[in-house]
Formats: sequence, structure tokens, C-alpha cells
Amino acid sequence: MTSDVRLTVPVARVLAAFLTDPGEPRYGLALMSATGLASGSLYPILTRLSSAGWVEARWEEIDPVAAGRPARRYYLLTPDGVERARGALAQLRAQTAPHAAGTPGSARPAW
Amino acid sequence: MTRVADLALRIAVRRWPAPLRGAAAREWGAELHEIRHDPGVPPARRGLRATRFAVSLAVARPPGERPPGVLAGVRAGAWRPIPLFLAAPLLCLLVEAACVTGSGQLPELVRRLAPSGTGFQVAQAAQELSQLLVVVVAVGAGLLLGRRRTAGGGTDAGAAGRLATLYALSLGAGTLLLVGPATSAARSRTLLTLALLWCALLIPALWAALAGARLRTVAPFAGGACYLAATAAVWLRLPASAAPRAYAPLWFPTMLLPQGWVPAGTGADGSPASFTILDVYPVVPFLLLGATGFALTYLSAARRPHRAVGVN
Repeated sequence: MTSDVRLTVPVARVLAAFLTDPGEPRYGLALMSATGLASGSLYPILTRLSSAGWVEARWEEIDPVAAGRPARRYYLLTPDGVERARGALAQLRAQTAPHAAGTPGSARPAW
Repeated sequence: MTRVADLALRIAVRRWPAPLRGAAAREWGAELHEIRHDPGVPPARRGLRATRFAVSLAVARPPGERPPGVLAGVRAGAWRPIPLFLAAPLLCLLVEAACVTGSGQLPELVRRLAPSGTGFQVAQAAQELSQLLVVVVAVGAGLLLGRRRTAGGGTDAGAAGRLATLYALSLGAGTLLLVGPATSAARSRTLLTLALLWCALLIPALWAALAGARLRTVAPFAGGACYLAATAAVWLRLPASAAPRAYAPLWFPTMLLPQGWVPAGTGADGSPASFTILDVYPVVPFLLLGATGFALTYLSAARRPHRAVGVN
């Protein structure tokens, strides 16, 4: 199931962290470190991205006894998610970039 | 610290959408394990980080409450808790009124039922026994009413948490309403202190009960919280000239024992300290004990998953 994801600043941070190396799966704590987001912000975003089809999750395949720790859950951008994330971040950059002076239709003060 | 983090994680899991809970519990458990065993962080900070990780999840807005970009509306069945919220203060007041009435009427009944000629002077302890009986009835009523609750969503931890807070505040206010008008201004202030302390200690206990902890785990904590609140209020109210404040914890045995006498300490006038304490607090601690039992058993019973009912 895919649907649109509302691009907020925390969502943009998560997508930017994924896009630094789109082929590398990441787990929650690593993403928290990369984005600076608290767990309470990160996991709802990951769940929304998963349900929108931008990200897929899979469990690490390890023997917990041998590894001495439980298996992690890794997240990876889907091919469609990579395209959408790049597009969304590009759009965000375009929206937030300062207009060049003298450009037609440049922003005017609100007053 | 470990228990706080575990409890917060349980709350977070319960708040997560039901289909995702299993995976979330497993994933967060693994993350918490890593935080707790991170060799690069001093042990003291690990506990803090683990707690922050779990608490942040516990207070986060769960995903899937509404799709992104969709305006908040009224979800189906959202009206169901409303009658319960409106009824909660009334229910609390009724329970406390029953406590007051019961502690006044039951002694005569106990006296009549008491076997005569026995070594144990039941008749002399009628007042205390009746008050204990009222507490037992309040606990039973909470259990019964909680089990019969069909609306309000036992799995909706947010609504149930607000209900728990409302219960504690209602019971504290009910105590003031029922007992306050008949007392002096100074005693009313003490009652207010007691009610506030009691609310401050009971509300976390009720939240813990709702978070999934078993009643047998929470009940001693809530009972202890209630006892501490009552003791603190007695300590504040007890005039230093009447009896040493160190005797404040005696209020409970004083209330239980026949004739309110505990052989420990004397007041300034030479009378037993327990008499002075008994004068300070006639009924209120028992009211709050009954209210604590009622609130705990009601909410613990109400939060249990409802039994599946066939629908045609």
C-alpha cells in the first residue's frame, strides 16, 4: 500500500539520513543518532513511512544466543521510496531556498 | 530506573496500534537491550538513556490515529467514554457517601450480631469493624462495577488514564465536600492538604495499574501511598504541644484498635498520644482507604480485555 507522506522537518531528517546511503539498512538507534530525533518521534515516522511503502522493514537474521543480543529490526528505503524521498527533499529545498534578487515573481514581504 | 524503563515501554506498547504491538515490543526490547549494554557509556548514564528512550515512546502520539494530512474528526465510538466521564464524579461521591453512612449505621448492626460472652469484645470494636467492612464493600463494588463496564474502551489507555486522574480528583474533592463543611477552618485546610497529597500519590498508582501491572503489584504501592499521604497530613496537623509529631504514623492502629488506645507515648496533658491523633482524624483516612480500594479495583477490572461476544 502506498500513499503520500506529509513532509515535516523530522520526516525530512529521517529521509535525508536514509539517502546518505540508500542501500544501507538502518535500525532505530542508529537512525536516532543520525537524525537527533527522540524515539517517540522516530518510530511513528518509520511506521508511517512503512505503511506508505517508502520504507521496508526486516528482522536481522542472527542467533540471539550466539550474538548475545536480540535481533534488530532494520529499515531500508524501497526503490520507489528512494525516488519519492529524493523528490520530496528536492521539493522542500526548492520551497525553502531564498529567491534570487530581481527574479520575476520573487517573494514580497507579507506586509 | 530499570523498572521505570520497563514500565514505560509496556505503556508505549499498549498505546501502539494493536496489529503492530508484537513487532514493536520485540524491536524496542532489542533497542533497550543495546542501550543497557552499550560499553561506550557509563552504567549510570545507560539507565538514564534507557529510561528516556522508553518514556519518549510512552508519551508519543501513536501512528495510525489518522492518516497524514487528514483533519481530525470524530472517530466511531468516540462518544462512548463521555457518559462514564460524567458519571465518574457522581459514582465517587456515592461511594464516599456510602462510607460515611455505613460507618455511622453499621456499628449498631455489628453490636446486635456480636456473640455475647465471648472473650473478644466485638461490641467495643463495632465502629472499627464497620469501617473496615465499608472498605471491603467499596473494594467489592469497584470490582463488580469495573467488570460490568462495557463502554469506554478498556484498551484505550489514554481515555482510561484520564479516567484514573478524574477518579482520584473526584474522590479527593468528595472527601472535602462530605467532611469539610462539618469541620473548622483549620481542619478544612488539613483536609485539603490530605486530599491533595492523596491525589498526588494515587494518580501515579492508578496509571501504573492501567499500564498493565498486575493489581497485586500495584495494590501495595497504592495502599502505601495512601497511608503515607494520610500520615503526612496527620503530621502536618498534629499540634506539637499536644503530642510529638513522631507519633503521627499511629493513626492507623489507633483507628483499628478498640477505644482508640495505643500504648505508645503521651501528649502534653498526659493523655495517650493516640487519643490526640484520634481527635485530629475521625473518619477521613478510612474514607480514603475505601476510595483507594474502589478506584484501584474498578480500573483494574475495567481495563481487562472484554470477552468476545458473538454478533449476528
